[in-house]
Amino acid sequence: MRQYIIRRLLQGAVLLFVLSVTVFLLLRIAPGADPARIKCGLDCTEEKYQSIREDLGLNDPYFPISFTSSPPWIEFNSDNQYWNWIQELFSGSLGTDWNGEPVATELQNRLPATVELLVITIMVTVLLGIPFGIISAVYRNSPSDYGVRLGAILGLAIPNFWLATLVILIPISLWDYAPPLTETVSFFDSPWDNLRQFVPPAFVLGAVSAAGVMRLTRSSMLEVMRQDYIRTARSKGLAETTVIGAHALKNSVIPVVTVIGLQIAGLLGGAVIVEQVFNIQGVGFYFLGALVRKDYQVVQTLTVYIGAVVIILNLAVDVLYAWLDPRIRYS
Amino acid sequence: MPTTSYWDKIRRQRVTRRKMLAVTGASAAGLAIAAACGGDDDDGGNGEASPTPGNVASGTPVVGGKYVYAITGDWGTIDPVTSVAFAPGIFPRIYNALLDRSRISPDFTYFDLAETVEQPDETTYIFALRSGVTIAPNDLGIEERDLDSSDVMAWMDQIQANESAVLRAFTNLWLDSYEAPDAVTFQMKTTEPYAYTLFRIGAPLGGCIPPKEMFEEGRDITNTGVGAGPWGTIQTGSYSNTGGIVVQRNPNYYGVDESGTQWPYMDEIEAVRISDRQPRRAAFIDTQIHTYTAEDREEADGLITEIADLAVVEDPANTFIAFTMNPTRAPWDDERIRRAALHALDRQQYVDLIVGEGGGRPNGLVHWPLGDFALTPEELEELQPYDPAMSRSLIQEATGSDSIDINVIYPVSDIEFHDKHLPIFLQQMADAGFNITEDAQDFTTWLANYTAVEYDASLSLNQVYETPEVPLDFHAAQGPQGDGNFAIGIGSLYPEVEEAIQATKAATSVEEQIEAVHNAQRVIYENAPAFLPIMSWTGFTLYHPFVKNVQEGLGATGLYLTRETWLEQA
Repeated sequence: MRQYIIRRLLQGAVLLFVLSVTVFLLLRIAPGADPARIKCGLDCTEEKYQSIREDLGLNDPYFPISFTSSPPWIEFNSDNQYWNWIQELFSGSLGTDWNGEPVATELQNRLPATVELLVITIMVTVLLGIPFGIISAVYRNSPSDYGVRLGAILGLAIPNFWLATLVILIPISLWDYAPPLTETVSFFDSPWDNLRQFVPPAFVLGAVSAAGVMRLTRSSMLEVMRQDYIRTARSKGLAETTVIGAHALKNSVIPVVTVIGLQIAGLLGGAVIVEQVFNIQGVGFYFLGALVRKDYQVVQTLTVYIGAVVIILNLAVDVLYAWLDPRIRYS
Repeated sequence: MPTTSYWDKIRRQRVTRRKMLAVTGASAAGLAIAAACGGDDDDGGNGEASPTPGNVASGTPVVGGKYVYAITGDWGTIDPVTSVAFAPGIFPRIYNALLDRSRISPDFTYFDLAETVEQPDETTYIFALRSGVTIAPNDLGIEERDLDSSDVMAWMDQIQANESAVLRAFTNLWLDSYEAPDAVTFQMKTTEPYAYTLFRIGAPLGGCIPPKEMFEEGRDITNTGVGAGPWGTIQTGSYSNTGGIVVQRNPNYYGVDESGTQWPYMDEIEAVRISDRQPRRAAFIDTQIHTYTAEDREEADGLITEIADLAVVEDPANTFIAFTMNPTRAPWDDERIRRAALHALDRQQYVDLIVGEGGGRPNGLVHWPLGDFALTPEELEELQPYDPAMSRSLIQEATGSDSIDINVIYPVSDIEFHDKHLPIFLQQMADAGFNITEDAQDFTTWLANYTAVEYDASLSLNQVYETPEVPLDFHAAQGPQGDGNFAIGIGSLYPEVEEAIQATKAATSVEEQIEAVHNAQRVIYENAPAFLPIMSWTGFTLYHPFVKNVQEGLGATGLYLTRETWLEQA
């Protein structure tokens, strides 16, 4: 297992390197003006534009090595954009954003909000997805099953930005109620307001992932319920709740755990939109703003950062999978 | 069409304001605003008067409370010398200007740091500075002292030194010299008579004066600050360049009302960032924010029905979307093709389909929210009639065919109204014989091309101008910045156009200036304009009934007067 984890971590490092180069290049070759042009504003002059490019380091070569049209064909660049960025990435400061703020400081300030949102979302996902998946499987082809499956299809089909808007509009229209929208409330400052602020967006994000979990739980449960050992358990006269809870659920939940782990990456993407709608100053909010103004430093850093989270989560899920199912052996 | 002019209404409104002054004992009060680049939900007050039940000056001012409004995007920076977009909405609350002449109500001038201004000749301005304009308490270590002419000099030096300074467009083109003969006098000379000097020198956009220590001691003015304005203290830790800010009452503020109560009445102002409209609207209904700009009349009406005693301020927005042609490129170098475009646009249809009846009006070359500077609807009917048959006939005359292929760039944007303009534009142009090849560009690319005039034609979004100077300057030889950027260049092709535009800047009275602006438009029409503002709409800014003494009619100048607004439930 240790060897497996080390190998996966090494693969992850290679993957992150490829990701870093890809996002670095994509940002620069994508059509559209560069961030210096945006920062230069409406009263932009060529002089001012060049000065901003210099400040942002955009006049440096992209990579440590570049090709030339004459011998020796290759040029080594000690000062280059990619290496400067990587150095900042490893130095812990993560560089500065478009507004001159250290990216690390911004992340430090914003990460708690996003982590809290994701934790509540996972709770919503599990609390909705697994119980309803079990109900749907146990009462297969009953009105409850149809109802749950319809709900799951709606959950998968409804875009989260639209659902998020509804979650704000309906309470304000019916009861003049809105969650706190003007600031991000810390749990330690005001637990009640914090939950009022975070539970609705977590519900929005969780509705989509719970739908997937519910469908997977259902199919997995149906598969397990057809197994001989379930029939044996029933023939022993065990209560149905024991059969389902102690025997069927434990085995059917293994693939579900994998899926929940993988969904966290998707949830990070969803958080970009939901944080915007609910005005939560989290990492997603920051990421979206950086994308709009083409803030290379932030977009690059956050992409690699999210990539690292996904790689680590995948590894954690695989390890957890082996722990949950002793038959699985990694070599 | 309305028979009374905008200025008639303003004059009537001014009577109302004077009545109110009798109550407050001060210059006009209010939360009248139009943040220079739009987007604040704190941006009423740049135009026609309308009944504002629940928010007029009544009763005894209540001291205290926090006023909360929403901004919709990043601050970027809070450097008063360089910042654009949302920050100019907060600067007049923190800092002082010399004075600010209302751009939409030009016979109103707010005197702040300058107590008087004298003009011994047409190019010399002598500002006598007020004493007792004292810097607010702060944790930056800046002494709580009175501002004097050395602060104004340091500010002006900074404008000269910083090529990003907003007022550089003014100082580069028009400023000849400036000096401080003594501590209470600041004097400047313009190179030539310039009618817009007092409109520009103290505008919230670039005209706010921080203490000289901010420059001389190399303070980080992009993220911190302190002023001698009514809310001169920025609450420690409250500012985030992507979020909000809290500014706090300046106990040293010089202004007092008739009863001797010190302004400002409200303890704090908080600007919060809420980008999306629906949460902003929800936050308003839930009183988390105290003002909200409705999308259109229908939404405003809905909210008025829903919330009792809500106050609504109806203001023409100084904003429009324009069709811009490049007359140095074919086919737009042919006057007949430009005229064909002039007649292709049914501006009333944009009003009807986008904002509905009473929600806006068609524009001429100077947009109608600028009142008497704009030509009358009757004259515009003659100068730019919608006539697609005439368009086709002009195209036929120029090309031998009744249709023509053209390229049009436009930005892909989520800015309200832009998306609604596009399909109408495409249909109307097609009806008039223009076969358009669309070139949708991301905003930054479009902006770069638009700035450098690298296009054949453009549907250009969100032009926000508080004076007629800029829309006319698009036609001038060197453009609105005087450096060739944005310069469509009709002025360099037709000397009479250039002459007429320059004449608008040299006018010495408002009446003369109005006449000169009218004349310049007529001359441009004679030479087939290349910059066609389509229509401007009315903004509906709503205030909760507990926000008192809100007034409209001064444009962004009203931002300086928030000091006289109070919260009844403070």
